[in-house]
Amino acid sequence: MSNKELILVVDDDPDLVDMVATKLEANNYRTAKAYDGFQAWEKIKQEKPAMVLLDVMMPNKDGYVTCEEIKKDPNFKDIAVVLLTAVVDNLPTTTYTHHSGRTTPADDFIPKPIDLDKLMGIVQDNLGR
Amino acid sequence: MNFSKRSYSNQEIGPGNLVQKMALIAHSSPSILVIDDEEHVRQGCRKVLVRDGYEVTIAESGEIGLSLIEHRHFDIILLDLMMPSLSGFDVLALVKALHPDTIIIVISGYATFENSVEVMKRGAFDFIPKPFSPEQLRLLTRKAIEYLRTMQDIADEKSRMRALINRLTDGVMATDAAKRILLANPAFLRLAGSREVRIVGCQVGEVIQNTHLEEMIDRALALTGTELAELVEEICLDSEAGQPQTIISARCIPYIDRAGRNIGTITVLHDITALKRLDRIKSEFVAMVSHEIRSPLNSVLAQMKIILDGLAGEVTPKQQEILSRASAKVNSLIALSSELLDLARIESGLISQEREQLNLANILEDQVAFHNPAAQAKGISLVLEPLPRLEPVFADRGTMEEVFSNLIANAINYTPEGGRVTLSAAMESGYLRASVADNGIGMAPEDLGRMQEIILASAQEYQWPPKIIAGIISRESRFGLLLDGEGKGDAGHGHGLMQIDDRSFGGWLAANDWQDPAVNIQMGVKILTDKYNYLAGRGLLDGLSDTQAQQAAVAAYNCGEGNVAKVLQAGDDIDSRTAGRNYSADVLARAEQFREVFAGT
Repeated sequence: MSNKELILVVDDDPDLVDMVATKLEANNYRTAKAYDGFQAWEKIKQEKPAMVLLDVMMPNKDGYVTCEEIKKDPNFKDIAVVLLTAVVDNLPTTTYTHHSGRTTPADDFIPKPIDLDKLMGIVQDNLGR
Repeated sequence: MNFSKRSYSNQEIGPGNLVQKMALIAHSSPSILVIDDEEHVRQGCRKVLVRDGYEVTIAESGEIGLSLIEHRHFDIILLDLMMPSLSGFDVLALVKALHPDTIIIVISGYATFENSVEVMKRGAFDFIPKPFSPEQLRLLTRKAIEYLRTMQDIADEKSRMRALINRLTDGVMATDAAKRILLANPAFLRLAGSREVRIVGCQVGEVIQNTHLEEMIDRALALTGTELAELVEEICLDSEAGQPQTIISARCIPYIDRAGRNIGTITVLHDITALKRLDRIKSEFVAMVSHEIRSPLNSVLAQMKIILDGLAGEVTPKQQEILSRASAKVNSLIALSSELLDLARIESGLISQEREQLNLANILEDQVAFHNPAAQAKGISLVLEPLPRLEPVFADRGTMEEVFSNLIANAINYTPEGGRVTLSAAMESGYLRASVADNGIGMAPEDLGRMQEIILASAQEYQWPPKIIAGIISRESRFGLLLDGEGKGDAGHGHGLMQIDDRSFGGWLAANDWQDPAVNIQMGVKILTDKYNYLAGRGLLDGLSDTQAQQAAVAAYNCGEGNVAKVLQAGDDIDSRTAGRNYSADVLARAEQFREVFAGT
């Protein structure tokens, strides 16, 4: 396991970001935090993390769009992107659909409510490739 | 039909003058014209009929009779057949042309069978031969009046019904068996978007340009008396630019006569646009509220987990117990809000299946095209075998796409590089069978049976969520689909992967395919860490040698301490469940080994 890799946690709920970051740090990762798609993009440019844990439903700029942008950018396309999402995020009121989840070039996803242990497994898998 | 045309106009009958008309029927005396060249017959008839309360007019020739009826309407005409100059036959024809409602009773001294038949054919009501008694005349007149009253009742009923139907806000249309319109009220024409005015007798297709409605009528007409059914559909109507779309509920029933023949259809349209809108608003509200509840609960759950894991300081056993209980409660609240969301989606139509006639070939082609990049990236050839002609299937497109997408994605994920994933489909005794197969090493037939056994026996014991149990209950069909399914024996070598709730279960199958201990260990541990599937992972580890078990222990340890605990638990499970299960001594020994190995780490 390569230690101290930087993982960016993005979610519009600061409490959740905090908890995920705490868990990651306990597993020997460094963390950065962002609370919407724009902030996430700024952090990615500044710090170029090894992985981004990206919430799908966020104000301003959602996770699908952000993921798309990361994967399109030759400088950042190698960053592993894990979407934090759930099938139930397919709200009739929103444009989020299972289909756009399927076609988003994310490396992995984990459903909400997040099982933090499971998340660690996914992080490990995707960074350990 | 009017008793006395001069009394009121023949305009369209509204409820007001309908009442007026009924009063006239009850109180006015019927008018009778007697046309006969014989004075004593004319006077005799008048005497009898006036006494009975009729208003009687007489004419001594056909010409005079005709001039009278040109100016007024008579309810009944008594007509002599044999008169000089204008004959009764000629008068009959002219009366029928001018007053088709008037009842004509023919009187004649030349009563022959031919004459009787001829006048009846030309529209006379009845025939009375001379000489006749006053009683015979009375009887016949009374019969004619009763007939008139009945006709009047029917006409009234008809116009009342027409008025009612015309005033309905629901659209109503009746057609005959040849799809000609017999009746369509203004609401129907408005809802169906027709501006036609003269519609009776037109073909449905000429008046309404809506294929859904026409198809419904076709389907209703195809029904026989024994399969009488009401067809119901929701139809979105094309709206003009800027106008909100209209949604109507259309019901169509065939009209079956007493002999069981289908002689036409009745279609009723009900505008449900407003209802649908309200329903959508309600669903969206429920979804929004539910989502707003879920998000903070997710955070709370994560917060409690961090404390439970000791990442926020040491936790006493009592605190741990309290937090665990609180977590369980939060989890059930999250599940509840998910159900609300599901409900909202069912109501908004996202979940409810919209079944249609599907061409599965198109779906398979699309899926192969969609997954091909992922397959190529792994050097896997994803092939759709040439398809025979496939009957259309009645299914929900989204669900079908999901099924194949899951199967193909899993096959790609868990097939070694350079492998091959093959899709095929064929018709089999009326069913369409589709399969997703890969060229992994596959499972031996006995393992296949064992797998089913394990799944069933374990579903409840391990408290798998209902979704998984449902997947298992329907396994016969799913296995058929997934395992290239002979289900009889040779299924094993080359099969797709099962995805019940997430990918781990498929992982188990895949790992079994590979027969590569290193991969098996990795897979087994990975699966073991999945809360729903550690039975499957354990099944995998059951077959390890001592060295492999040690490797598994290392792999598990590398995945995090939590995993070791789970692997240990798996070992314990094997031990503690021996009473209920027939594990071999070998497996039990290995369980012991596990515990030792992991305890050592």
